[in-house]
Amino acid sequence: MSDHATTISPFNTQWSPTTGYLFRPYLIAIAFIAIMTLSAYGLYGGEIGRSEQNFFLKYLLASQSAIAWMNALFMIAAVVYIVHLVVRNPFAGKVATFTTWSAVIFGFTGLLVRWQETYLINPEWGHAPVSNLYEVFILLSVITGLIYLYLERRYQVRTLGAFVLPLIVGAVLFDLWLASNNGSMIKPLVPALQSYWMKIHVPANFVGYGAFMVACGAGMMFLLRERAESKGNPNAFSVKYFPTLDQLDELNYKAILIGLPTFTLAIILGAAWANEAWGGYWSWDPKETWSLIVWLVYAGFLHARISKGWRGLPMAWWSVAGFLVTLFCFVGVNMFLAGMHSYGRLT
Amino acid sequence: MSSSVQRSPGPQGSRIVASLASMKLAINLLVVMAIASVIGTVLQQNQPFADYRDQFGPFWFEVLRALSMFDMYHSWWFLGILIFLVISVTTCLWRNTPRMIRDMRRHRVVIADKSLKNHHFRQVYRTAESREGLLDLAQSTLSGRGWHFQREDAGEATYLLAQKGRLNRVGYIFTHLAILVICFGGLLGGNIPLQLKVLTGQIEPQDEMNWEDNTAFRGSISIPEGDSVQYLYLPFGDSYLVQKLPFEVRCDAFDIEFWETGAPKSFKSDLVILEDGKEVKRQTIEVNKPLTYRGVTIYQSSFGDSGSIIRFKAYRVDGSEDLLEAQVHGRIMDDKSGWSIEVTDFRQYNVQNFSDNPVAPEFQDVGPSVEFVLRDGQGAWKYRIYQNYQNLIERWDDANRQWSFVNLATNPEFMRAYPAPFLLSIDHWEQKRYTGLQMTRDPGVWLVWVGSALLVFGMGVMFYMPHRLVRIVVRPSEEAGEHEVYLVGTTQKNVIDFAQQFYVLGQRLTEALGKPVEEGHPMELLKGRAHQA
Repeated sequence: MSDHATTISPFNTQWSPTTGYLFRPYLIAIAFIAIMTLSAYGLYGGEIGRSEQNFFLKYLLASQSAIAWMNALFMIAAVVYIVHLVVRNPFAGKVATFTTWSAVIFGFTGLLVRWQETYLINPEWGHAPVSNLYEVFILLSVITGLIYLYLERRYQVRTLGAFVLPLIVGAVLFDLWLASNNGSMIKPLVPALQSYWMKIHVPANFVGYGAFMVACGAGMMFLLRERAESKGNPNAFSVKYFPTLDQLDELNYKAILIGLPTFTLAIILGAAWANEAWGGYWSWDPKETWSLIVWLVYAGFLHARISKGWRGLPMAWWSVAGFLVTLFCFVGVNMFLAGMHSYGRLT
Repeated sequence: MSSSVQRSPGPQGSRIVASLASMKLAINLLVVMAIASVIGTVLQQNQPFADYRDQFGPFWFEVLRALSMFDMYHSWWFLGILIFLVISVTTCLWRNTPRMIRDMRRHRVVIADKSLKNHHFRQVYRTAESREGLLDLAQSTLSGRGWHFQREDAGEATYLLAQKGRLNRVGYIFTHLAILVICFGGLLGGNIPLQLKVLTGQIEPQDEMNWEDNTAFRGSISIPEGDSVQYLYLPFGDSYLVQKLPFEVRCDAFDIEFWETGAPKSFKSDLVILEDGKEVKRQTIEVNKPLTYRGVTIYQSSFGDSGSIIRFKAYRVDGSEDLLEAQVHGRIMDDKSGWSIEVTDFRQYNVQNFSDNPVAPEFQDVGPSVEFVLRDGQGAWKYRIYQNYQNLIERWDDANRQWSFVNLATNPEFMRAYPAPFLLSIDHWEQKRYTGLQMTRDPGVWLVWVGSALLVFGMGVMFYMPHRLVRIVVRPSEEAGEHEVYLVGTTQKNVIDFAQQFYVLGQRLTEALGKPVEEGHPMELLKGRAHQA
């Protein structure tokens, strides 16, 4: 039997994270999100108008404010990660991680408070905040942040943040643009979206998209470092301070291992919903078709890596190109193609 | 198992099997499928043929139509790719499953010295401890960590084998089987027998299909309120087929509700199913809440005006007034003037935002409106009028493709340019709507869900339950009175995690037995390893 166990751990095997160590920050984050969301609930007291009157709501907890904090914190985190990569100050690294966690906490709080607000504006309007492009971009930012933070802690690679966080900032900027075009207004749901499937189908998709985004970050770092190494430049910045090529390759792979199963689940949930709403689990709607293409791209990635034993450069390119396909599936289809997923329209 | 492999076809046959099962073919098929899918999203599918002819010209239209590019996901060649993919996956499964099952069972507890050296992770200790003490240590090291545990003695040596994720290869089998099951479900729903009849020309556009003949279909029908039907239309190229149903569907009422923003809130149809004239089921369906009867699922998919009656009041240039009755989508002749009136649309609600502030919109319904076209044989003019605002008229500007408001009271210019010898207002209306239903009969859908479950479960096992194996071998050393303890391990995937687990196990032994005399640790291998792209 051929032994594929050429995958020798590129990471420090002397270090063994315990489950407790891995999940402690998640518990803290959940506690913060719960406290902040409940505080907002208490401060609102059933009156949507208080978002402008109450000091804490206006500047901290109302969904618009919390999301503004998330935006700012993600931008700061991106800068600090880059600073950390350049000056290699461990304290800067800790600040970057802390800032990213804060952004994620504010983002989730913002989404949960927005959920309340849909009910406060009109009890009949109430719906999970995953119903339009503005809302799902917030979701994308926080989920990508979470996946990144997991990999950072699991494999102790902080430099990756300097590449993933700028991608998140890209999503944040896009969302700011949407908000400036009235995309952030809370509106009631059209009949097609009035379904419990929305709550699970949409978030599942974004776990997939977020993971592919992180993989793309690792892929880009790989390409930079590989270029420097192949030029035989041992003093290049990337050679000195990036994770090793093996580590980056492994991170790329790990992120896709998170992304593909969840994305598969998302497609299946979408099919189940389509079967209930449109009379067929698969209609070759442009969004469906492109999600199938994305699925094929990453299924191909795993086949190449697991069955063919491909490593390194081709996988890094694959992951970067794959993310472009993902991006088209998730924004491009809404911009350029017609179809039944039109509620994700730009404006 | 192995006998079936030996009985595989001769050299020629096995080459075909090998190429069918090859990754190259599978990847080529996937790439072709991906590219074809892209084309299908760029070239809008299932539009009226006339549109395509305008777009591509007569020559390319014929070429593209011959290639089924206007309904490519249901074309013979796309189906061909899918069938090849199914064959390829089947061959892969056929070839690999026996080997995988063998692998799962293979791991013997007692192994030869040579294989002991083949493990990537290896630590060897030499100690004067007693055999009993060492076995206790070994057992306590491996037990209680969720490992499947086996022990065997061979002569003076004792072999302990601990495994996790022994079923990892089931993941491979499940995921690939899942693709087959899903495709098979899709084929059942895609109705191959019908497609074959279409290919061989046994079915013509507008043919009637019996319930028994057609086990899978997806089509639509419009039912005016109060009417009933016993058939539906299936799309067929640029035409349709008529599918008969063994029951009758009656629409008692159709209802739309609106949000205060004017956006639709719900579309509802009160449906009654009748068999031999007797009511057998009654249900209100909505978007996301379909009805199923005898394997046919009925969905709310659209609605429209089925000929609402509009009574106009005509104010004529000679000062007389009279009433004219028309129907939506119908055209009437006004004998007095020789003009015709064609009613193109009626809307009961027209919600508009009366606020300039985007944050605080104020929505208000301005009431019913009618859209109509006036013709006198020389030209056509399109207008929209509101029941509640008799002075307002909207004129369709064909050049700029937009509506423009005119207030008759303040704009005498308009009247001078107005072509017809009468003005219309809405006197009375009676709305009549139809509900647009989609009906699906798909006997393969359950297979799709079974396949989906297999796929998710298989991926979970394959990616997150890697096979890991750890052995401890205790045996007498060449030096009298001493024992050798081997701790070895291998894994297929997730080496990082395994390395960490192995490290913990090694630490326990090192604490008890001192430093290992030999270490085959991947970190050392890693150092000398040139990166291979």
